[in-house]
Amino acid sequence: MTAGTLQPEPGDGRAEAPLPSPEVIEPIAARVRGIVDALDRALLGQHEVHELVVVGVLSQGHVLLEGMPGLGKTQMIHSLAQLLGLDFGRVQFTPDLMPSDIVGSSILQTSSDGRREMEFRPGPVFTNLLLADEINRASPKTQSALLEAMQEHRVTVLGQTRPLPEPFFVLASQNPVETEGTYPLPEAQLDRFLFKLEIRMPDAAVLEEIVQTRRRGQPPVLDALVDASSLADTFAVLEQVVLPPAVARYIAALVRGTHPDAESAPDLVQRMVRYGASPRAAIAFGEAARARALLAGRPSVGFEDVRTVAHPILAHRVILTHEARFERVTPASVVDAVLERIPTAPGALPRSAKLVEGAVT
Amino acid sequence: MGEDHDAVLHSIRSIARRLTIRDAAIRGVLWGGVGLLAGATAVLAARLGLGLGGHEVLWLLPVGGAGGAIIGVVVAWRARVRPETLVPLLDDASSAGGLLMSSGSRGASAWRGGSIAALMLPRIRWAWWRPVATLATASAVSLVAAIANPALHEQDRSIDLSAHIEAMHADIEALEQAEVVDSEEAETLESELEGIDSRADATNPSAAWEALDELSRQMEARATMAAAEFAETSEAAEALAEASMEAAEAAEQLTPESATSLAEALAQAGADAKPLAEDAGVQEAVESLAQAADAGDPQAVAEALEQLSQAASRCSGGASDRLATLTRAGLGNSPGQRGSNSARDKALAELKAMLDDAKQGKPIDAKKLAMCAGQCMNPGVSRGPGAAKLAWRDEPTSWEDAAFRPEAIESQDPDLDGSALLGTSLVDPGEQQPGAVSAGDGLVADTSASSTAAVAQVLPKHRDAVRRYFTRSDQVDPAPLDDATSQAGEEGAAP
Repeated sequence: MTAGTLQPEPGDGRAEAPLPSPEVIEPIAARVRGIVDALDRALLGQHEVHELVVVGVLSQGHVLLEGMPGLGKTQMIHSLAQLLGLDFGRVQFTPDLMPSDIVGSSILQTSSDGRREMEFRPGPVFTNLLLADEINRASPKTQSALLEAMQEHRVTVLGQTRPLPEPFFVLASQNPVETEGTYPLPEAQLDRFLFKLEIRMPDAAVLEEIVQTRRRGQPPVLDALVDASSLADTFAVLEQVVLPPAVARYIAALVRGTHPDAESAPDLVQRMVRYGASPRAAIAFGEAARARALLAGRPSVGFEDVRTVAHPILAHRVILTHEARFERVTPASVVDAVLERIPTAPGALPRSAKLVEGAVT
Repeated sequence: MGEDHDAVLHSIRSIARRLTIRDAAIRGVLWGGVGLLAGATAVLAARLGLGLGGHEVLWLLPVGGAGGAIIGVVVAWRARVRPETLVPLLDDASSAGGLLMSSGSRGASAWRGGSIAALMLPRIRWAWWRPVATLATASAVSLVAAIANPALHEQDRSIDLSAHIEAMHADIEALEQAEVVDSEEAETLESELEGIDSRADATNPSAAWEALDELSRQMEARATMAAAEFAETSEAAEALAEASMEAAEAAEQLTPESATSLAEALAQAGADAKPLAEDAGVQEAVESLAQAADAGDPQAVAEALEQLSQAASRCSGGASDRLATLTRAGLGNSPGQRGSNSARDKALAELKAMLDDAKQGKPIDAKKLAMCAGQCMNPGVSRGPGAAKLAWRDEPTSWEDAAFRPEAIESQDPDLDGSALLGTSLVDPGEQQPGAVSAGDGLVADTSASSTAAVAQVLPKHRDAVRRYFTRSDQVDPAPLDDATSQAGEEGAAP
């Protein structure tokens, strides 16, 4: 180590990639924060959800919203589509909904020259932002059709594959209480959602404000803040956000810590978790943390960014045991245990020093 | 990078240095405590196991503590906090959002100034109070035990020999007073006694007791021998005094020849009496008597005999006093009724009869008078005149063959002048039966298969220990001593 600089060592937590300048980051960050602010004005009392939804969009991931009816899930997604200036499609999932109702179908048409040929009628999935309302009410067959589109960003009908427009996001919602006649999403399909966000009941003050400002529930009219090209610019800047190796190591340790066979796993995980998060979760962590850093106006990812997106990423990817259900252990508590157990900088302190619980988080 | 970057680097290094110093201090205390505990344990082991006392091994304590502290500091230095590994923690605690971790990246300088307000360490708990307190307590306990133990140890290991030592001091004083030992020998015995007392140790108490017993046996042997000499001297002197007094009363009435014979006989008897050989007064009186005998004057013989009688009386009194001194001190076996008293009385009576005859004018048989006078001084059985060689057989093949070959002494007239007294016995000689227990070797055991308690043989060197056992102060019932002694006495071998 010389007098003027800290020489990087393998895994010392410092990145060598160039940082984007504030002139690059700050306009984009201001624009993204503007989207969040607009969402806050459209749907009161859900700021954290709005931030995470925007982070999900910036991460080009799909988001599953779960909450009681009437909390504004659909309204929030509709407002987001307005703000992003993207094509918006909505599908109300029902048990009799067929895959072709989503991805589209080919029908026999007579052309102007009198010939008959099969013509493809695209389904609602051919859009930039798709609202899959009450996705758990559709049959698994229909869910699978949508989930293929989510993963592949393309659909195949009658042997012909058609790409979906970019960007493509699915914002799905589901009702956690009406379980009769529903088809819960399998774990493998849940894994394809970047986030699973819980929409919580706003407090009394927010409700009072809603009563005073929302006549007949009409939201304010929102203008588009971005378009497709500016959104592409945002994605380009997002690519420049630096993920330090120490943060990447922390993400890996968090994901590994959700597995019961991991040495670093907390006791709760070892007892109550059957399967941990997949590597796709680690990828989602990196992307979401970058987006979170950009939203905060920073060129690099910090540990707090990872902790912010930990619950939405991990909670629906951790599969608990039956014992956990009996003991009322929730995925959120498991994630809390993992966050508490995994240190951000292992080995940084002497052995005789211990971090006070909650000193950093 | 600029000045901001240098300031951040300086802060990081300063924090790392502070953490390392504090960790080194904690580890130094911890390892020092461990070393102190190890030293205290070593001291304890040395004092208990090796018997080392005083402050001989207390140097282990500071050496152990200092050595442990040095080891702790070295270990802490080898595991010192690296600024590179500290960066992520500082970044997280300072809410730097990864900027601190990206300080090596190009373009970082544009972000640092406004993004990192101040480097902050997270709240840290130094886990050292509990182990340090535990080790300090353990070390203190061990230290106290190590220091306090020798006193307890010595106290527990001491033997109370004071009563025995005091009794032996009195015995030595009695021996010196009875002139059994001179002052130089008495000092030697005293120093030997003090040495035994100083070396007494409870870990091996039998050594002290055996040493005391041995010294006591030596003193008892000296006292017994001296008591026998005193008794013999006293009796011989008393007999000489009585015979001289009888002779003095009769000398004036004797003829000069008879007076001369009487004086020569008593002078010879006094000169030959071994117990009186060292008494200057007696020997001087004997010489005066011999001169008076040469002069042939009955008056002078009578006076010389009176002087001899007085000198012999003084000699007898002195021997009796020394014997009484030993007897009061419990030293020396009191001489029993000597078997020769009857012979002496008989000789005295015969001497008186010869003197009475001489008074009436009868001539004195000089040889018989000399024999009677000798019997008064040295009563007993004469081996008779002459000598026989000890003849050994060839290599003995049995105990019977190992016995002396009897050889008869030639029968001849007794020549009392050439005879010597070898010993006396009151019993007839007898043959010791095989298997019989030697009466002088210990208590005689009841070897019969009766239901009575058997009395085991006790070696001479253990007799004092057995006696102490039965005469100890906390003995409730002294009956076993009485029983044992009476039974042993009945068997003819006192313990």
